[in-house]
Order: sequence, then C-alpha cells, then structure tokens
Amino acid sequence: MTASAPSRSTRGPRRTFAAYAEMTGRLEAASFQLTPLLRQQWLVLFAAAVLLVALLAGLYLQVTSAAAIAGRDVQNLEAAITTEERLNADLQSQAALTLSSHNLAQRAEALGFVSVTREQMEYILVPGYNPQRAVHLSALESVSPGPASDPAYRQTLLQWLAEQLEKAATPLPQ
Amino acid sequence: MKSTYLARARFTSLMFALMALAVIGQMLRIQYSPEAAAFRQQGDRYSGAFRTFYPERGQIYDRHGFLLAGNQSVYEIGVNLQEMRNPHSIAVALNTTLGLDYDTVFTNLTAPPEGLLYLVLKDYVPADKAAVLRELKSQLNSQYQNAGDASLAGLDFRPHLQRVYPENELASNVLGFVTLEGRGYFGVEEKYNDLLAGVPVTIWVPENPSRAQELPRVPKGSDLVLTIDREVQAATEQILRDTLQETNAQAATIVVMNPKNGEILALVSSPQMNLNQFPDYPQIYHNASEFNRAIGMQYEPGSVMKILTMAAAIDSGIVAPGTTYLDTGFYEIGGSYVYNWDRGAWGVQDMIGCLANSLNVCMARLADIMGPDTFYTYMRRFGIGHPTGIDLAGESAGRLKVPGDLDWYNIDLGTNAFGQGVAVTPIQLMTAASALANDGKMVYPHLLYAMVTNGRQYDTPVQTLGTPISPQTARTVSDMLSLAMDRNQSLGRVDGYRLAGKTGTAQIPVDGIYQSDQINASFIGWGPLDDPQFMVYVWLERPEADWASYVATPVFHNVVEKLVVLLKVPPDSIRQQLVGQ
Repeated sequence: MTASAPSRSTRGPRRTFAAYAEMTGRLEAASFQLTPLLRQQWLVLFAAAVLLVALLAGLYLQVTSAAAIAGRDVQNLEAAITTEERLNADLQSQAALTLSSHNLAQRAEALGFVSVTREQMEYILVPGYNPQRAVHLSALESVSPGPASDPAYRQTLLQWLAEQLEKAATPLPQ
Repeated sequence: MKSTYLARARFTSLMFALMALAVIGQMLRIQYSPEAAAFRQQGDRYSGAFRTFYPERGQIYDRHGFLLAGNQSVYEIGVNLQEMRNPHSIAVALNTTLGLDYDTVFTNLTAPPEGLLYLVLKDYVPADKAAVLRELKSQLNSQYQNAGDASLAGLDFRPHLQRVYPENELASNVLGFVTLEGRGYFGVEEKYNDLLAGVPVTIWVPENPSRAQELPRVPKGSDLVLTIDREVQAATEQILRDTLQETNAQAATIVVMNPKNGEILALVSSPQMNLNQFPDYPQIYHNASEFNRAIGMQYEPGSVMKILTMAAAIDSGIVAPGTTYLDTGFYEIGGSYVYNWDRGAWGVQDMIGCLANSLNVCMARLADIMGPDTFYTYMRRFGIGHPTGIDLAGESAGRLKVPGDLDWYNIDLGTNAFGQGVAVTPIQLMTAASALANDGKMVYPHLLYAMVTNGRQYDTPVQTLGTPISPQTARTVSDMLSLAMDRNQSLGRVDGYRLAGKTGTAQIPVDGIYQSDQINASFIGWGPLDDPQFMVYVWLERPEADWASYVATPVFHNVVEKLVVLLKVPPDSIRQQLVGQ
C-alpha cells in the first residue's frame, strides 16, 4: 500500500473489478443459500410483475385503438354530414330549376293553360286571407325588430324652441 | 476451471450491462437532441393541417319562397401524382370529357414541379361531367390491372359548392352575381355579401384519428327573403322585352313598388344577363351603373317632376286645385323665358289642367311664387339629390342644384319645376312620389323582406323617410292626377280602377343642347287611388317616339293589367262591396 499514485491509478480498475466479482460471488452464494420455496416466490413475483406490465400495455393498446376507431367514425360522420348538406343544396337547386318561372310557364302552355286576364277574374271574400302575405321560412316565430326603447323626446330641439317662442309671443288673455 | 468460467461470465455480463447503458444513454441523447426537435416539428407539420371551413352561402328567395339564388355541387379535378399509373389515359380522358388540351395535361402530369404531390387540373367541373369521369375511372379500374394498362388511378374529385341561379335572367338586375372567388357583385349579392357568405372558421385538423375531434359546426350564411314577387317580376320582364321591341328604345326600366311600405315587387332594367354566365358581364355592360338603371343611372326626369312641384305648391298653400291662371305660353324667370312643350298658349287653366296638359309655364310660375327657399326645401324633403338608401349596391345620388351652388342660376328655379336641370334616379322619384300615394309619408324602398339566421326569421320593419307633405295634400294631388288622366283620356287608365299618374317627356341634352329627336320617356303612376297597392315607374331611353304618352303610358297600362291579376286586386266597385260586407 506504499505504491506511488500513478501505480495506484493503473491498479484502480482491477481493484474495482475485484470488488464487483466479490459482490457477485456473495450474491450467488446467497442465492444458492435460498430455500427452494423462497426461490419459487421470487419467480412467481417476477412473473406477476411481467404479467401486470403486459396487462397494462394491452389495456393501453385497447384504449388507444378504441379511440382511433371512434376518431375515424367521427371523421366519417363529418364527411357524411358535409356530403348530405351538399346533396341538400343540390336537390333544392334542382327543384328550383324544375319549378322555375320559365319552366312552369312552358309546361302550363303545353298542357293548354292560358293566363287569366283581368276581365276573367272573379273575387270572393275569404276572411283572413291576404294574397300579399309573404312566406315564412323558419319554424320559429318571426321577429320584427322594433325600436330598442321609446324615444325620450318627441320633437327636435328646434321644434321645442319654436314652440316656446310661439307660446311666449301669444298675447296674454285680458 | 470453474473460477475461470465464472470470471468470463462476469466479464460478459458486465459488457452487456455497459452496452445496455450506452444504448439507453444514446437513446436519451437522440431523444433530446436539437435534431430530434427539428424532426418532431417536421412531423407535426404533416400530422394535420389548418383547414378553413367556408359556410354554405345563404340562399335567396322571393317573397313566396321560390328560390332565386342557391348552391350546387361542382368538382375540383386533380391528380395524386404518387398514385398515378398512366398519365396518357388521364390526359385522353380529360381531353374528351372536359375539352382540356391533351399536350398540356400530359406535360403537366409527366413533368410536374418538384415536390408536388397533388396537381389541380380543372376546377368548377359540373357534377354530370365529373360523374362521367368517375364512371370511366371505375370501369378501367375493374377491367385493367396490369402495369401499362389504361388507368385513371390517381384522378381525384373534390366537391364544393358554387352559386347557381335557377331562374337564369329573372331579377338579374336585383340579384347581382357571385364570382368564383365567392364574392358578390352588384345587387343583393353585393349589398348583403357579409350576411350571405357567413363567417369562415379555420381550425387545426389532425390526420391521426386517435386525435380526431368534432369539427366546429360552421353555420351557413343567412338566407334572405326578398320583397320581389317572382310572378310579377316575370310578367314585368316580359312587358319590358316587348316594349323594347315595339319602341326600339335604347334601354328601358320598369319598377313596381308597394307605396305603403316601400317593398319592391319587381324591378327590371335592360340589358339583363344570365347570372349563371356571369363572366359575360363585360360584354353586356359598358359600366357598372348600367347593371341596374333604376338605381344607378340618373337622368332628367322631365314632366314627372311636376307632381312634386304641384304637391309643394299645394302644401305650401299658394294654390288649390281650383286656382286658375292665364297661360300666355311663356313665362319670364331669371332673365330667361320658359315655354310650354308645344310653345302654345293654353289660356285660362286650373291646376288640374296644368297637370293634364303638362304645362311648363304653370310649373315655372308656381315655383317662382313659392320662391327658391320654399321650393328647394320641399325638393330636399322629397329626397331629390340624395340616395334613398335602398338595399342594393351601386345607388346613384342624383343631382339637385340649389341656390348657392356655383352652377345654379335663377332660371334653374323655373326649369327644375318641370324636371329640367335636375338629375334623379327612378327609385328616387318613386320614393318621393310614395308620399303622394301614402298619405304624405315617404317610405324607404327596400328589397329585403326578411332574413333567416340560425333558424329564426327576422322581418324587415316598415320605415318611413319623412313626411314632406300633409296627408290632405297627398290625397288632393293624387285626386288631381287621377282627374288629369281622365281629362286627357290617358292611355294609362285601366277599366274599373281609379289610378293616378303622370307622363314625363324629357329631351336629352347632347353637348348642352336639347335634342328634339332624342327623349327620355317616363310614366309614374299608382293605384287604386283609395287604397294604393302598387306604384309603377316606366322609363324608356331614346324610344322611336316623340312623346311619352304614346310609348311609356301604354307600358304602364300593360303592367297594371298584369298587376291587378297577379296581386289579386279587385276592381274598385267589387273591392268596395267586399269591404262593405
């Protein structure tokens, strides 16, 4: 142990290795000393741990795949909604084309109809019928926006001033 | 011996342990290296994309719910270059189906720009043509599988919506159109572009389905219900086309409005265009104001202006219907003379005769008696020289010179009174005249009947623009106009209906000189007198005629004949009976 520092440094790894070997030897000795029952317990515990990890991994995989399938379903449904909306728009336009003023007039003429004239019109009174009433496109009740609040003044400042002057100019009753 | 193996085993296990540590260390180093961060960033870029969801453009209906502007599917046709097997087949198919140039398509497919994965070949392909291509692709796919066989593999169809106008030309001046970029031009499409277009939403959409989330619902643009009556519009357009043929007028405009609430029932001006072929716009119109002459073109109205002068005179109390004057055929005002249309002297005339015979001298005299202050105050109250605010893009303001303007002279007071030296638009004059038909209340002309947003309909309230004259004056002038029509046996009258109206013949100035052979012929009228339900304005530009009473008045008559049927307005006698029941 009187060796100089450089020689100690060359022997350092060797000593570390010796220490490592001694330790593993002790462990081996200890393991050889374990009873068979104890060794089986270690095996069972190890196997249980592996099983647990496998179970968790499987669960994770299952949840991930379920999420992916649901996500794909969502994407498919959204695509289907878009397609349906487009189809609706197409059908509305096609119906409008079929029912267009020009087409209807042509079909009516082909069927032998003629436009009614003023002289041919006959009128009867139908209470509540308003021929000029426009369409209502919404299922909800229509909203007619009115003024947010009643006006505080019903005349302009100039009108008020003129009124006051007029009042002032009126001769007092005798 | 045993110890030798033991040492070797220990050495080997140590080496493996060290290697394992090295591997783990290296893994951690790579995981947290700057290169890994760059790769992660690169990966994120392709893990999804920012996508903008454009809402479906709102539809436009007439007042009875007939679709005037809707949407239809069209296709963007492109090629996934990685999936493409036979560029020759694709070029041939697109050449025969869509008429694309074979060489151009083939060159683009075989030598695309570097790094390009998807190549757009044509957009806005109609659904029927896209269906043909899709069918062809499917057939080739099932028949040929070998390399080098005919194949449209890689050809991709991406649908989207495009504006469509099922009625083609009908109400084109009112509707305007939407370009391929989705922006509205002219008419309602431009005025309500923001409402119709809705609000686009841009979000990050991941490719990874496990990260997929519900896309936000992008509400479609608002639907609009217009005040236009499709049947009235179609009938009016037919009358306009017939009129153009019969009178050889350069252009014509007809507007039908409900004078009680300002709802425009029909509006047409020539030329019209098929809105589905909007790229033809530059060939049809020379400038934007021609698209809708009823609101965009200003002109000297001529004698139709006399109804406003008379209303002002009666409202200010200077005359009554029975007031008479001696018409000498000329009147001096502002150092110049004003003459009647026939340069004749009409002798003693009352105010009804003044309107019936459309006497310029009478009107100049009335304006002179009122004085510029009163006359121009009334004209301003009637909204002359100001835009009405109608909900259409491109309204012109007109021009009313007033004292104080550099180009106003005293003579203008006289000439303005009978519609010269003043510029108005048809819609401006109708708005002003609505005060006469609506008990003195001037209504706001509009086309929007209602707006449907998020399933709820919002109706447009009736708005008045002011009360330029009293109800009594309005009724008196309407009565006078009706009597005037009777007195000169106007061609505008319709049996069974009492109507009020006035012609206007205005010579067109060319280089400052009025041309006797070029006129603007117009007629404004409304009825039935006791309960006005329509007001009609007719304007013919440069017809082959000398007087509006021969060309514009019969048009008014024809329009009213149709209106009373389509709007189901019974004759006065029947209506009064029905009201009495």
